[in-house]
Amino acid sequence: MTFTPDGLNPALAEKFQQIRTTFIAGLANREVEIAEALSREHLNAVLHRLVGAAGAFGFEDLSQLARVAMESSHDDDEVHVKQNLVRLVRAMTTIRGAG
Amino acid sequence: MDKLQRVMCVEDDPDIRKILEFSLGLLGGYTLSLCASGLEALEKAASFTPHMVLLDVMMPEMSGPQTLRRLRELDCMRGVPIVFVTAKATQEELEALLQHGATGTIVKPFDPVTLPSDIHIYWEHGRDIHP
Repeated sequence: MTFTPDGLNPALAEKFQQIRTTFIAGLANREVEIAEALSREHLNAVLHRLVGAAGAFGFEDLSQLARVAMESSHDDDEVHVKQNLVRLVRAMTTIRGAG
Repeated sequence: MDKLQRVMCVEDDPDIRKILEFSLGLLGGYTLSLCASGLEALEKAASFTPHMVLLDVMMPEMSGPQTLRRLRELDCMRGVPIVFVTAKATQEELEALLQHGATGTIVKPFDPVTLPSDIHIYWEHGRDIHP
């Protein structure tokens, strides 16, 4: 699963792929952070970071799922919060598997 | 100061620091100071003397707005544009951030290819906002 922003020469494209690969490898740690978040505030912060990072690396769908989960992270509806988190973690797992 | 050279980036996420390094350092050619926290930024500001600061909003220990307030107290930061980089997306949220005294806001996720020119616009037009 590759993605390279438009307008990069081969050397820069390769460098981008290197840091993108590091991001993908780090998704496992982010999944743990989500699962072990100690509070809604902590969860919100973890998701907030993922929104920004995923989009910058070209994972726009993942960024959007993280945003939805972030925006619902303070909902009273626990089931809704968990549904959004499950969708997000499934997407993260898929990206890790394809990477 | 007629050319934007030194950019300080304050961001707690290591992956985003890497993409900032790629975007602003490699693509943009700027000299960067990458800081993982507001405290680190405060420690480095006087020696690095940034021409511009990009500041994450949500950080543990010292938030972006708290960091901005402390940076603005430093003599070396007079006239230096400080731009929030944030995943907050509603217009109300962005307006609220400007009320803290930021020069502007850049919404995450940002495009690493266009970010260098995006920040240059803030530098060109935002230097006189906080003399």
